[in-house]
Amino acid sequence: MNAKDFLKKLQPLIALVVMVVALSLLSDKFLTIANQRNILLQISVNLCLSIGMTFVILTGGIDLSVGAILALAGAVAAGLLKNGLTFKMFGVVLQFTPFGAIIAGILVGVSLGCFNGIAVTRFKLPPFVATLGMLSIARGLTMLWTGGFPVTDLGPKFGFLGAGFLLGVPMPIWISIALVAIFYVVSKNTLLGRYIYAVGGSEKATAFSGINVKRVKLWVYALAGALAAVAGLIVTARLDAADPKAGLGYELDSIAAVVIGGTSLSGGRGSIPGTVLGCLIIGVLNNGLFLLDVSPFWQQVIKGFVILAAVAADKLSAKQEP
Amino acid sequence: MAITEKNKTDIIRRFIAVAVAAFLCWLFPLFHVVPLKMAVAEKTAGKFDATAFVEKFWIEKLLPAANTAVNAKGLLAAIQASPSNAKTNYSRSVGLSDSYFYFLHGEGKIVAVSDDTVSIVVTGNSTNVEITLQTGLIFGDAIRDGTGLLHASAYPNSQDFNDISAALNHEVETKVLPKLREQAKVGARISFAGCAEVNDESSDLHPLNLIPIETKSE
Amino acid sequence: MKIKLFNLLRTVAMAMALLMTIAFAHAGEPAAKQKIAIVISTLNNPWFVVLAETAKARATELGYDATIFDSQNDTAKEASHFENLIAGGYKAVIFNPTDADGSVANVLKAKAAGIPVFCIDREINSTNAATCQMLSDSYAGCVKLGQYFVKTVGKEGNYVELLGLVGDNNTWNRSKGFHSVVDRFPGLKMVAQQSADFDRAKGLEVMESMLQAHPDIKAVFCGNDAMAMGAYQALVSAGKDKQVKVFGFDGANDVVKLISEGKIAATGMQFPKVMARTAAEYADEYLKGRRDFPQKIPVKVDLVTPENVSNYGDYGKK
Repeated sequence: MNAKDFLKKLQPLIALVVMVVALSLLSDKFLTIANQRNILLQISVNLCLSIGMTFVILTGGIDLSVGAILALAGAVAAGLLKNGLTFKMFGVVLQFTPFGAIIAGILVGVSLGCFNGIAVTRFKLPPFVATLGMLSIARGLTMLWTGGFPVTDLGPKFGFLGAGFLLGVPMPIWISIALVAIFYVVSKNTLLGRYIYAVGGSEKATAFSGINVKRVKLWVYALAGALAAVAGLIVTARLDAADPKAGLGYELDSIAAVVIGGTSLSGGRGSIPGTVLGCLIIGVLNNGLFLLDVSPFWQQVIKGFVILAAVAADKLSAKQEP
Repeated sequence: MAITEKNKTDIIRRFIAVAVAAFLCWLFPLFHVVPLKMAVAEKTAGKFDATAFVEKFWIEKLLPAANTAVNAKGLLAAIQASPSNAKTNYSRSVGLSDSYFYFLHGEGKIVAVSDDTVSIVVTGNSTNVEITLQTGLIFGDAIRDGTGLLHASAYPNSQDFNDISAALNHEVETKVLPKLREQAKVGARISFAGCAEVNDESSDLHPLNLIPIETKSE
Repeated sequence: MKIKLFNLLRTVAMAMALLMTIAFAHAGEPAAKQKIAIVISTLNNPWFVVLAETAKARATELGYDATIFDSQNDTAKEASHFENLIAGGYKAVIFNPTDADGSVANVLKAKAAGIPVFCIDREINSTNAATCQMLSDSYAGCVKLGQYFVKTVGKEGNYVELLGLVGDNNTWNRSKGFHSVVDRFPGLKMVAQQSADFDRAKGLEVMESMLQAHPDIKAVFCGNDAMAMGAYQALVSAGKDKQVKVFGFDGANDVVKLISEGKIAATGMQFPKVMARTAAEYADEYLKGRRDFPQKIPVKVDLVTPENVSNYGDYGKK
């Protein structure tokens, strides 16, 4: 790695540091422990989504369905926990335990992710179209499952996932830290990780070297689905309610975090730590704009510009390479 | 086909994986099987039953309160003297609103009967209809809000509170009105109790339009 | 090396420029004022913008520093707002919840931090979380609307209904209030009932499809004025605006105007400005020591018809 690459990787970090320094000067509330914890808590959901999104984007794809899968997984878990699964034929109800509901939620995420993967690999649909379709399917299924009503009052056991504390730190933060650690190792030290980068770098070359590109992609979409489901479980547990409208537009936040973190939309370049930085930048920005009482309308404008600036910086520095 | 060494370890590995998964599921069960009847019973147990509530409320609270409601004769005189004084002394209103309710009881002579009203004169020498009792379809929240016995604050979900209003009106239609229609003969004397909502003082005070909760012929 | 340095500088410059903008927007504010947060379910609908802006204006008048938070109809975003405002040292919250059940946890968080929450317009399904809830009495309003509906449409005929968001208490309070009256008349048949999410564009779309399926309807009842406007547009372009009577709910400016022109039959006038102002005043009184607030304060909804429309203006009485 040469110095320039290194510096480029540092860009998001520098931006983050500058923001943190400036915000701590502008607001006396920013550096408080409570506020820092809030920021981490608030990015934990986006972080879960963005890890999966990073892998998808690294293969040169995109996943627009994560927000919808989030809502469906949360709703399914909440519904199974609250109402169980009724079999009228046998006159029984399968009353799910919190653990069972969590497993079921993740299974929902994995299966919809696999569906995405199959659509992209077997039916050769562009990822944008395949996952756009899934967005609509998953939203519709969520409405069907819930009837449009939020499923509430899920109990403290399940709520622990979102509202519980371990050693004074909220559970969502632990979960996202664990996921970051696991998938950092996956991206660096496993065959799957190397294959993902290879597929994104050049799909043809990877295929020629005997790697099963389709299988790598299937894995990646399934993973994105699973992580979206985890995010859905966190949101549901945090609110003690599965809102069928949950996760609207989250796919865009997640793509923004990945891009701001320096992952190239054309695939092959990027990293998990970069995405973590991207999430942190968005989180700090959101939090800072609130602390400084910026009007909600301006907040959206400013966030848009930050995304544009990040991508522009990426493009500009790519041009300077020989 | 001979089982190779590799296949063997593969099979053993899978077997172990399934065993571990089964053990975990036994330790942390994914779900319990519950008979449908029990599950349904459990679910409906916590639901608010407006009809049952109203039946109890009607006998235990509403009818006793009717005796202590403001007297019609006195109220009509007060309104005659000054509607605004009558409002401050005898009316109730709920929340932020410029309409208000009277909860009154009294007796009078039936002077006219139509499809959906019974007209009554309370003051002996009056020639105008002073009170009408509604005998058609009953709508609105006059009974719920007019007596001061029920408060929105006690109901976490307003839909429950609204259901009470519907159940009260239903009670009037099914229990009070059939009796009233029998009693309603021009010239008969009747005692009554009920609630009136006043939205517009120019039309709703003369006559007072009552939803009856109790009527007796004398 | 020059290029690298340039890269670095550019990043720093970008971040700085951004923060300068923020700082500039923030500059010159005296920090001594107490802060009140106004958390609104969505600013995508003018009705809620009126609600938010009125509360803000009244709080500012009373000497507070008021900030509007937009939850974008997302209970999770709302949760973040509550965390931020608790950490940010806000003293009171004027709150328009996204969800009757889902928002309870957020209010409890504020309560635990000792911050009073005043709900406006929409309720939360709890009576021990918020300090006070000021709620439009949608049900009673729609009972009146239903009675007027029967009076103008008659006791026979087909009609359709546009529902709001199906998960919203207000959607059902309105629909139930309306049906508690209209369903008593067996001659009035609801031939279709669809959700248009309180949205004008959706109202237009859904109404267009409904007109295809049921060309013979006499009226449409809409859960809010945005949908009523959408439905009215659909009727105009189908040439059926004379045949089909439109009933809305909210009291938005354009609907009130159309009622005065006799083009829309009626609407329920809610009083967002009254609610918002009262909430700001209550927050002020709370911070000055008052504690005896009623849990729920129903706010009356007025029926606006061509006969009395001259008394009403944009979101309130003239």
